[in-house]
Amino acid sequence: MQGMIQLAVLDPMLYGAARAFDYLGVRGQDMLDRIGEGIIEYGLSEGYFEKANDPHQFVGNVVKFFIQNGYMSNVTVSQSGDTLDIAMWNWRFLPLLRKLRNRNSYLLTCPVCIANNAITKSVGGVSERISENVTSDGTYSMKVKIVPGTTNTQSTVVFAHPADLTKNKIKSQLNESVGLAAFETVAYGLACGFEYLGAQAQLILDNIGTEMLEFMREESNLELPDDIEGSLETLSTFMASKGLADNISVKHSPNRVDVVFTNYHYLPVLKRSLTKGRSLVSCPFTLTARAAVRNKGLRVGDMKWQIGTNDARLAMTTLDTDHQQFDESAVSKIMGHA
Amino acid sequence: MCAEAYQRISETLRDFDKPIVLTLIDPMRYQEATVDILNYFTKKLPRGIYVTLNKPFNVLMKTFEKAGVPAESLFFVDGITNVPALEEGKDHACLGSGVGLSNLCIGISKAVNMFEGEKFLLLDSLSTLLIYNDPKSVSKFAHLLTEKMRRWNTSGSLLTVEMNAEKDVVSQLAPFCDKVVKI
Repeated sequence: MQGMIQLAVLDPMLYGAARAFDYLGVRGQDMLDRIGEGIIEYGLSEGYFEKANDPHQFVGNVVKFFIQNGYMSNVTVSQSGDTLDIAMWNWRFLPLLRKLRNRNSYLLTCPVCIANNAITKSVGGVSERISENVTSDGTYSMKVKIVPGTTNTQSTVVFAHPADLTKNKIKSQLNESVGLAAFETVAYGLACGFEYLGAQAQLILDNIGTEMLEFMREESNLELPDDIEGSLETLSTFMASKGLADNISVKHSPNRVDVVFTNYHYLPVLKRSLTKGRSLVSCPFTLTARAAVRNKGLRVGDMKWQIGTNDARLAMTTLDTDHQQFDESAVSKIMGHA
Repeated sequence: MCAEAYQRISETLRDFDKPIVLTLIDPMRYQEATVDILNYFTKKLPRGIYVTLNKPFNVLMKTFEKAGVPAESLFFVDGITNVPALEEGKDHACLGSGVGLSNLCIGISKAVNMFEGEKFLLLDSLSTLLIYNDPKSVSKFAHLLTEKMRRWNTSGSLLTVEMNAEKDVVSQLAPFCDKVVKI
């Protein structure tokens, strides 16, 4: 494995994505499955796994990649017609699944699952969720049926017989690590999953950032100070200590935030995104930093990157909306003369 | 074209001569819905002003041409393509990325005044404005724009993608529009 990153960085992203689409109900899963498409695209282009014409084989290749990257220790699949019995050992998503269920959130952001959904959809199928179970040792199993369709419905999102996750002792795994390659695929999926919406997709990423902050406060006890400088400093220290970079230094001045990432592990994703002309950035630090800035009543304007071999510099402008109130009557007069 | 969405727009706006519509679009169907709305207006009116804050006008033009929309009848006010200074062309004016609300209003006003006769105006989208502006300012902007559209005797639609962040704006704007259409 190339390198590791703690779930304390990855889990907030997955939680944020699930929560950000809750308002859409089951349709939110279709948006999340787009992240799965990005996971597949990135994994294939980086050679992390190979495409196979047989969708089951293709899913198997993706699963193997996530096992190699420590996202689960083993998976077994037994097939009977269109019905699949899947069991996963040491599935890293399990504590997050319980947290989401406790919030009545049934949307699934497990990277393996959404990548699987994307592959299944690409051949005109969706997985109807029949039942699930969690054993006392934390082994998760589910029964699903592949049915025709390309959009999710209630039965493909919500289990007919969901597991009672309150009965099992599911420990937080935030200090555990997964391979950087797994992190990269998810981050890329987030960056490109909504780009078809154009610039307004940034609002989705900003919502994800807001939910990430909530998760980090609740699960990692990360309290942000009242001032922007302190908030960004706290976030940078947290993200660096959990493996996003060797160091993240932040300098805040009026209307501008300068960030230097040393040995930045989001860099491969950023390079690929920028090369492809994509401007949306899903770096967990920038997502949460933007949310922190917004929480203080400001907005983030331009984000300019300077890319090095292993490092990156970001210049982010901030806009004070209080000082930019729209003067309707003044503009109306100017429009009259335009 | 997604026939269902087109039909819904046509039916909802059947009784209006020059409707000003707030269109709330399912994020999964954004691209198709935009084409449908454009198709509706281009069939009714000979000229259109398309205000794009989401995608560069040249990208949109190709998309619309591919979808069979008569793109030659459109003038684009582009608030996303970065150019050193205001650039104007036969079919577009670039105001630059992250253009302020005031300059956007002026840019729209100039574009509308360029063309005689009946026309429509599409703003794509209010959601994008919320990235750089607070909801209160976006509401004021939209209020002014709808008021001007009535004065200009211009039909059209303000597009917004269905997101949590828009709830306040939508509820504030609904009274200023003839109809809120959810696609």
